[in-house]
Amino acid sequence: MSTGARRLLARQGRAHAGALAVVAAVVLVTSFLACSVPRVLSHVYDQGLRDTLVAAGPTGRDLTATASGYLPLSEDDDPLAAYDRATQALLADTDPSLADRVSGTTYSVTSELLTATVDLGGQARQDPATRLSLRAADDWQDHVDIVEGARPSGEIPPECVGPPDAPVDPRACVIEVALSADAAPEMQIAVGDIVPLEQGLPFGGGPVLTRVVALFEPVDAEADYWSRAGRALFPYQFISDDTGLNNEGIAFVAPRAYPFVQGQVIGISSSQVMIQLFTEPATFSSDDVHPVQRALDRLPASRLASADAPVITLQLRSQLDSVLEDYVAQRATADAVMSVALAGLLAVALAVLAMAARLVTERRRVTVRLAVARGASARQLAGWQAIEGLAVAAPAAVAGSVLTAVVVGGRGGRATVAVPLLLVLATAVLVPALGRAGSRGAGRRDLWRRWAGPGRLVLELSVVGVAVAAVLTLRRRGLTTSAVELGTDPLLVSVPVLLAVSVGIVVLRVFPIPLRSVGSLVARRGDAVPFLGLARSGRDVAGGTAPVIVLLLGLTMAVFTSVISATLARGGVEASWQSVGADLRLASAGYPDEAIEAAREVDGVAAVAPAAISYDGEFERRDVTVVATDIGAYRDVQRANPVGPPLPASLDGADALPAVVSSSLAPDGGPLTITLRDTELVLDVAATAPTLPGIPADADWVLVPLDRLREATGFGHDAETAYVALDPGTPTDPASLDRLTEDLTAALPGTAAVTTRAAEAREVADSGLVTGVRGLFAAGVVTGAAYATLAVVLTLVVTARQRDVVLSQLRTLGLSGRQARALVALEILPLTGAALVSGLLLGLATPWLLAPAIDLRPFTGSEVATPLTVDALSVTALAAGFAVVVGVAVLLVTAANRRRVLGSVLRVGEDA
Amino acid sequence: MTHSLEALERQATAHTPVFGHEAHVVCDNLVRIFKTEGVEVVALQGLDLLVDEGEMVAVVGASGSGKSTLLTILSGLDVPTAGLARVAGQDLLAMSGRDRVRYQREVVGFVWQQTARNLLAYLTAAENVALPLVVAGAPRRRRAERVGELLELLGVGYCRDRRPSQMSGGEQQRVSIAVASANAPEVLLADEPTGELDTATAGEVFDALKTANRELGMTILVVTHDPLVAGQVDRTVGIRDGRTSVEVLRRTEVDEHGQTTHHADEYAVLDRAGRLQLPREFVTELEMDRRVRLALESDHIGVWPDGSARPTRGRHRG
Repeated sequence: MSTGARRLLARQGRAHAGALAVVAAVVLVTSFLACSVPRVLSHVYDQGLRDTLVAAGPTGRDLTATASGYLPLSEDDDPLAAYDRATQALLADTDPSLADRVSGTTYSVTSELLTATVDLGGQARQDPATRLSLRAADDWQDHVDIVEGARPSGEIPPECVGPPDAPVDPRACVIEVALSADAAPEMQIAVGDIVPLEQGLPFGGGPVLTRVVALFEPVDAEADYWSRAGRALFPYQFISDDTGLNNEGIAFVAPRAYPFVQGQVIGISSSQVMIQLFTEPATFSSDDVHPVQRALDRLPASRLASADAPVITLQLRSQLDSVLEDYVAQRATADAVMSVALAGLLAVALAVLAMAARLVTERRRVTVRLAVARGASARQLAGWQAIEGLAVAAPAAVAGSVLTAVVVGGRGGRATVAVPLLLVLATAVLVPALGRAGSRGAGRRDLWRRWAGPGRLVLELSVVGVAVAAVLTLRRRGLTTSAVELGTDPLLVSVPVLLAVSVGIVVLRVFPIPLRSVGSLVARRGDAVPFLGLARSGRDVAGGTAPVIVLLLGLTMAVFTSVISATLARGGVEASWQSVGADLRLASAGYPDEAIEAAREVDGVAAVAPAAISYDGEFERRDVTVVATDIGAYRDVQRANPVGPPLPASLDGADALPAVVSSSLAPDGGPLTITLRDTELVLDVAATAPTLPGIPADADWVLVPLDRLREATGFGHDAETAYVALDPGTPTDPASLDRLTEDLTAALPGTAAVTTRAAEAREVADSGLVTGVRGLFAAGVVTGAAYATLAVVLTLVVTARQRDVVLSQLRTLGLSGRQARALVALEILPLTGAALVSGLLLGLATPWLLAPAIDLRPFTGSEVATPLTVDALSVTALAAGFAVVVGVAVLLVTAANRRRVLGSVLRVGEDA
Repeated sequence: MTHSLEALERQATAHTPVFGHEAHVVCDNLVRIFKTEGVEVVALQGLDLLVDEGEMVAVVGASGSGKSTLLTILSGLDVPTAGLARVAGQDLLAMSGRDRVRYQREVVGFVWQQTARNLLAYLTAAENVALPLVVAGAPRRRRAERVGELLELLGVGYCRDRRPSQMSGGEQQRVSIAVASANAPEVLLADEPTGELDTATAGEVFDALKTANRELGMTILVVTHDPLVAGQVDRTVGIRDGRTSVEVLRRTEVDEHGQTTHHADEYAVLDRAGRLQLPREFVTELEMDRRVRLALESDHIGVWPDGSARPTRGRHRG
């Protein structure tokens, strides 16, 4: 390019700095927003992954190797060191992508459960249903505070070893153990007690004597350590018909006392070695998921070998792969929905960019025509304008990208390069392309007309045809499962854009028809303003196709994201109902009727339904969960549940047991015979439902009245579960729920676990992934609406000069300010109104059209698909907000025109 | 009537001069029709025009007569629907895109009525004149020389560093003529160049055009409403309803006493098909309507209104 051309471009740029600034601003903002998304998503996905790993708990994310057996005692080698070596070997053989995330290791040896039956100290035990495992672990003492007694000794008493040739007398060998301060009373054991432990048949050689020397409390009961060894703090309790309340717990021995646990000293025949590698959620990032998954596919094994014992193989295993699989599915859903919204918004941004480019070419029409008349070739003009476009867009795009790196941080990925590049190229192409269009039509401007030939019709029909075909293909193809591997689904993301463009085309084609009818009606009334306004609206004053597409697509995306947001919110609530089954669910070994009655009196409680849940029902070799409850109370509990089962007014059956059953068991209704603990139960099916709250969605279940089940089976069927409904106004913040839980557990003694629906819903809603994506959706709604607003403003600015001339001419004829406002409003309202209505409708329709290809379940934590939900409030707010924007724009345009001096506007004329 | 074979051969191979083959600007039966949504506007309906090299011609006509359409076609910005348009040997109907660019750079220059269409508001006079040279890729030194030369020639050297808003209307139009002349075109087209100016300023601008015609040797075609402008050129062509209707030829005679007299003879234009537009006032005066009677005399053709007395001499047509 010559110096002259460079100088000319520079002067021209300065002369049209305003319009170029608009282009630069659109590029900058779009680049910033588009580059922010992957960066924000990297935060969201990282946080989502960490939350998922935290929620999965240590058992979900640890790498664990277990093996039956033990390392033999060796005089030459320290077996503890051997365990340590095995642990280190496992860690070393683990793929670094996973090994780098290991924050700690532990190993332990745990005996089988031994039954405390006989007291050799002379006192017979009252409670035979207490079982304890002995555990030697390398680090348990680091996690406890001894609150009574002293730590167990690691020395092996000589009487437990005995002379080499003589058998040890187990009655003389006593092992020191420590119990949790909470567990000991449950088992009626105190410090100093000798607890004899006996193996079950057929290994019942002789009892192992233990002396409880210490009671401990955890340093931090919430620490991950205790999730891995929960029974050490509080025993697992259950009621059996023959032995009543059962306790199963863990007693710790000193680490060096592991030979006891291994049974090498005394008669324990079965023990288990466990090595655990702890992973730290904070060290995971979403980019590592695939390498970690690959590493999990080839977890190493370690062999513990010695000369005089069987070789044991420690194969590292983990549930982390299924946790990550769930996460990846959740992320794929997020990606799918986000990509639809983002592609739509990017298309909107490009259309807005086209409008800004048109503003430049409108401002430059004279220059371009002059250059053409003076002999500038099309290539020369295109080159100059492309260079100008590059000069304006490139710094803006880079600035936007850099700004995101500074403001948002996070990892960028390919999109942070691709989108700015796309914007720069689009500007470099759009400015010359629109400029070229602007340079045409020399001569008679009064006879200029829109392109309406057969070529346009063919193009438009092709676009509509492709859109329809794309929708049909997408709906027929349904859910794409390869999104995880292949990334963004191009068909899915292109459908909304194609639909919006198609609807835009149809609107532009159809809307002049009613407009003409209204125009002719108005013309007959002889009122000039409506006639002129509508006549101008029917022409190209609104700036052509781009603004309609922008308005439509912007609103479509705003409404689409609001529908998805509302559906996710509803899905979360429904999932919490499905998971918990009531506002609160309390579980124990069994609640007596009086306790249930007491619970009903607790302040804030609306209803309590006791339930006995048996998982051992059977129907045609399928497991059936039998939920027996007080049907009346259960109906009260489910009253507020949006996904509750249909409960008939009464569940009465004269002969058969009345029941509501899962649809999978009795698709056609009719009597159903199931087996429960060898008793055949004939069920009179009163209703069927796909799912029952609180029972996994894929389980077969039956719901029967508790009293009738007791009659039918003759068993007690203790109600070990209490479903609680709260009064409608009861606060569900964590503190209030804690207080309520305290009151309820006081009324319902023996409660071992309390699950609250509000907390579950909060957990889903507050998880990093859901919060982040919902935040991005909210941003999507705002961005869509903002671009639509920008489209309105740009439309008015692009056509401002023509409008100024018309308004000024009419002002010279006596047009009042009010009439001018009415004229501008009538000019832009038909098209913006048509775009608003069609945008809202398309926004509402898009989720339904895409529904077969988007599975929101992984995202809501629900097992059942949530019906798409429209948040009427946000849609109304969007429509109202948009109307306000249009109104304000009309006021600004007319106010700006009133400030203009009539003479200068009219003298400059159309070609200025 | 019989012809010998030799005579026929001679006739066939004889060089028949093309219409206006020596003219610099040729329009032969030029037609331009604008079509829009069911409406056709015939802006030019068989216009004929010949302008010789180095001539300065004024084209006059009422608003909507097709003057501006003619100039737009001649400037290469529009293409006629039918007919022939040739400027400096370049057929305007058969130009490729590349030819058109070359044509606009090298063959024609254009001055519009509105200053805003001639000059870019954000460039100085010198920069505006340099614009076509930049477009044509002229070297820097040549540009500077040419800009200075043209501005001085047209008497606006002092405006060199002024922007259009800092110049008077006459100065702007003179700079516009310099811009149009920058690439030394063979033909300069001016559409109402004095339309927005007062009489004195219009005179200055017209002088500038004459200077360009004389000093730069350009053929100049000026479309104007201004009778003063039209009265200062040797030939004025009148356009009516998309066709050339009259021509006024001016000549200056000096008698034996040294007295200079200016003569202006008005002619009706006879096209190649023999069509002739009668002046409107003649038609009105004699109440001619639909048909006229013609009579061929030995040295002229007589035209009578239909219904008038039969002419007594010559051959009649009616």
